[in-house]
Amino acid sequence: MSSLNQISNSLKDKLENVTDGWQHLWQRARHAITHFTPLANDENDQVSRQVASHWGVLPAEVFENSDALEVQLEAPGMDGDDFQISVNQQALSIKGKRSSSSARTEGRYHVTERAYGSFERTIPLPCRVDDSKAAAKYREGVLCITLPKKSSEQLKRIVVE
Amino acid sequence: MSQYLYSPFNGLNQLHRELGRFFEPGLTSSTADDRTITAQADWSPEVDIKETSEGYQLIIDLPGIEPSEVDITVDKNLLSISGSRTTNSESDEKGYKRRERVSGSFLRQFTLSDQADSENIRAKSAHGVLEINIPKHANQSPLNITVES
Repeated sequence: MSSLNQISNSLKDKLENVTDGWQHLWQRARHAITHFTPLANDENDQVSRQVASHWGVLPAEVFENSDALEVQLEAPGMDGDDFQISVNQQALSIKGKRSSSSARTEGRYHVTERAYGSFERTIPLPCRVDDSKAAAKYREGVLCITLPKKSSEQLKRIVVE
Repeated sequence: MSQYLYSPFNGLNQLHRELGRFFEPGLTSSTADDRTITAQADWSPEVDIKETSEGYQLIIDLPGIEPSEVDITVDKNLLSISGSRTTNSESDEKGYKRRERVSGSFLRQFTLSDQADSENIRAKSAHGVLEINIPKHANQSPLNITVES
């Protein structure tokens, strides 16, 4: 009986480990998995329409220091001009698109893991920001957005009478 | 270059691969060799492989990695792409409100076909995407074997 109990306990431990691991990964990954919509106007683009993945992983990072938020998004293979960035209340929205260049349409694909098309990611922000002073740069496939925090004087206070 | 055969479960496999990047980095396999990588690397980048009449083209997503930090080697017929990504110093740890990016070493390996001309492999990088061009040998005359009687 004792050996049976041992087996049952160790199985329980393993299951808890797996569940914990899954929860951890799910928390980390679920927001980064982003849907890519194939570009409708790209008729020659056989890659994005047929074989390419429609789900891509666009991991983000939000870092807070004393006067600003730094948001980084991994989005390789795009043009800096292709991003549309907007701040709405306490969320940052990033739209963009990745097209497979026309030179690549000839030939045969053996492996297609990269996603093509247009995407949108919304990232919640931990505090209010002054979007008029936001700045963005795109380097080595990473989009970096600096959002200065809104100082408390800029917030409109409502006095209770 | 190993090939994917048509499979009706392609979509499902694709989802599995994409999720796999988070479950077991390194297991997103395109070749059998890839399966041994799990122990050696923290993550593995996404890849497109295309074949044209002139050669093979590998397109690899490596966001946030300087081209000079990528190691590309060919050992016999095994092409390896490796390197590592470092993030900000650990003392900044508490400033992070969200962390989805993976740091650490990456490795991806591919078996080159006999047609590949490993002497003339060229690589270039732009916007965090590495492009490796592997030409095919110009004129490969088929080997004729005479049956001796």
